[in-house]
Amino acid sequence: MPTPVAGDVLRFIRCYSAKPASDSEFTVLATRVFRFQFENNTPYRRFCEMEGMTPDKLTSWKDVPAMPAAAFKELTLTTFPRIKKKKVFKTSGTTSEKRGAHYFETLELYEASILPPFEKHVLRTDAYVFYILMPSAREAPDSSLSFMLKIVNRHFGRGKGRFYIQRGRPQFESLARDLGKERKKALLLATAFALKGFLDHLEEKNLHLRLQPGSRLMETGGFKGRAREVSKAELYRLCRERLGIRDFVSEYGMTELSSQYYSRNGGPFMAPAWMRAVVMDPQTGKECRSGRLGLLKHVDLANTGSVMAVQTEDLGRMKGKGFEVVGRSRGSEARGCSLSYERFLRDSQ
Amino acid sequence: MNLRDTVRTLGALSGKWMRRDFLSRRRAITQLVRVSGFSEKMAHAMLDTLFCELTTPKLQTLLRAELQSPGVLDGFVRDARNHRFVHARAPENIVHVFSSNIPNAAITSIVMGLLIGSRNIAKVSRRDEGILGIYLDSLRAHDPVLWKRCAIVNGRAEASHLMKQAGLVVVYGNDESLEEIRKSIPAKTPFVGYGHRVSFALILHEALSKEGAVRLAKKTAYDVWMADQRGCLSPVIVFTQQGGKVYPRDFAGMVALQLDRIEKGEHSKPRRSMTDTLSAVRLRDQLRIKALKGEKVGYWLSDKPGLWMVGYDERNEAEFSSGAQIIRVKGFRKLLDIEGALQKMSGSLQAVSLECAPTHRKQIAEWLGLFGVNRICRAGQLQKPPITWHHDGRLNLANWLTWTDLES
Repeated sequence: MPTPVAGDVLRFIRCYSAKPASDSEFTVLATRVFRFQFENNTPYRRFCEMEGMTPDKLTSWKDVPAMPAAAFKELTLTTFPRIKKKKVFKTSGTTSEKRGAHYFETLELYEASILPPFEKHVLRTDAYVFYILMPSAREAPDSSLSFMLKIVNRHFGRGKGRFYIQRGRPQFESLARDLGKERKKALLLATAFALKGFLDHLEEKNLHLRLQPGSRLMETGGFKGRAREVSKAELYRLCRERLGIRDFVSEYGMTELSSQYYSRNGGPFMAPAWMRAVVMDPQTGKECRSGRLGLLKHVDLANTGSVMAVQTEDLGRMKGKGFEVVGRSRGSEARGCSLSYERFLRDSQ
Repeated sequence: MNLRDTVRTLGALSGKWMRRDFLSRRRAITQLVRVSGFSEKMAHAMLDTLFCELTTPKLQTLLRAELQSPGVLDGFVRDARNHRFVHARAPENIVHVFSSNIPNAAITSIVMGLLIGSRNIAKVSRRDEGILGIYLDSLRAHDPVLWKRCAIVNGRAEASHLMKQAGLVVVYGNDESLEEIRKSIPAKTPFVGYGHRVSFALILHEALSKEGAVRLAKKTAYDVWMADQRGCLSPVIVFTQQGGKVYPRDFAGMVALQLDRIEKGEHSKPRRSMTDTLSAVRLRDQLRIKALKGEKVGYWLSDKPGLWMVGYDERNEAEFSSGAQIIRVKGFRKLLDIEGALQKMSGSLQAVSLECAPTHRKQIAEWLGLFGVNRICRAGQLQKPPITWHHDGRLNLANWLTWTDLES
């Protein structure tokens, strides 16, 4: 491990991979990580000073200042010199957009944080055949999602899972053909957007596949404001109808984070022990009362080398022991006769 | 009813509307606050601004400005400048289509239709704020004959059917709606569209004296506040030149202070949606990130969370706030520096509140006109256009009429 703090986090992940950690245990380690990041990540320290927070004032993990996710596009947020980076994951975006970059000095923590929650929420056995409607890590080397899939495929899919997005194009026909022939239980892993495309393809070809009982879907990624957005319930309904899948897992992750949340069959997203979510009131900047809608803030101890607290633009609310995502804040629509900036940019292109 | 009587009747009704105890006005205020989410003070300010431009003398001025002689509506009148006779015919039926942003445009449009003697059918938005209905109720009580020349329809199909038979279709809305409606009506039906526009403030260094800056900040804050930044005359950016006695960033702080003062004097607060709040959060985050990169930025938030926000930076880009009462103040050095931003907005610009030395005013106005700016006024006047203003840069009434020229 490059730093003692990272070593502590790794031990924490291993210790709590199958059991929950108390709030106080989490706060103790969060305080250490915060102090480390405050001392070693210059832009983050300046951000904390703007927020009026220092390690000495911190009393709860909830008070750790959360860097807006958009900052990953503009700033180098590392606790180590950039030259020492081993890996960089980038957010998706068009060529004209700036892409956020998350730098890693080591991937040991990243890999360690992937497997336990996947094992808990998605699969415990290697009896499933993986069908992955996403590009492989070789094709998309800066995609954190593809990297994660590589790891889970290696551990739970015996490395035999096939990737059905090749050279940027979805291979719907071969996926439908292979799924149709499959005699074992299948795990289909897909982004919601690609999955909708696949379901449309099946509809167009009037295909109804019947996967083996117990087959499962893990979807992730949402639609990110694309026009073809459908609700998760509708997506699941279509999967039941066209694929015969009845068991659904939803994954929530971000390039800016190192760990993932999972939800089973439409339930709340649940965090591993080294990660916490809190819903912030956008007006007051304070924690929302339980059940109220606000912006999701994540505190991920595995983000030791960057910033552990990230403020997203995702709208959500706490639900049970987890949270649910309601949508993504897109800011206001154009009001009255006023044009929004985005609209103007679009029109002037 | 002849033109003179129509002008007098409508002017007298405006007089009633300017009285705070007028029942219809009280109904309209309640509607604007409860349904549309304006504050009570904003609602009063909007109605005052509207009806003080619809008085008898102002309507007479409008007719003279656009038609030269109002007699052209009755028959041929000699046009001395061109040695000809002209006669203007009003369309029998006008279909007006309104968006639901601010009520002023709807009432003004119906009044203009009545002035020229047309029958007016108004298609109100599905999110109708009901103000036009209240105005027409007051007209019914004031003059039932004139009222009979107006009707409101809500259904899209009915409006669509009526538009096909209309002598003129007047549409206020976003560019997509305008295009859609224009395509749906017969090619020969006259069509006037008032589309998406934005306004801004431009303050040159000579206007930023220590004494004048506070006064200017107050007026700028008023322009921002009045229509809750929902209209095409609400300034979305305040371009402020460096080199004056007051630095632009400090001026942004002064605008924030004045917004705070206006807000504290209000009994009711304007309603804010989650999307407004999220727009403010996004802008605040953008500015904080710019600050971390070493850029000169600043932001100010209302004491009561979420009511307004002022953001300052020195990037000469056409960045708009898209939330209610989120105002961008942008510092710049030379006018040339903001030319790129204006170029980008060109064709969608409406009004500019310009503060500069009187000797430069005309020259800068010429320059702004190159980008399609059609109204240049002083700070504090953005939300108070005269009835004679060339809305969207065109004649209003004259454009709604069909003219016949008789050459000698």
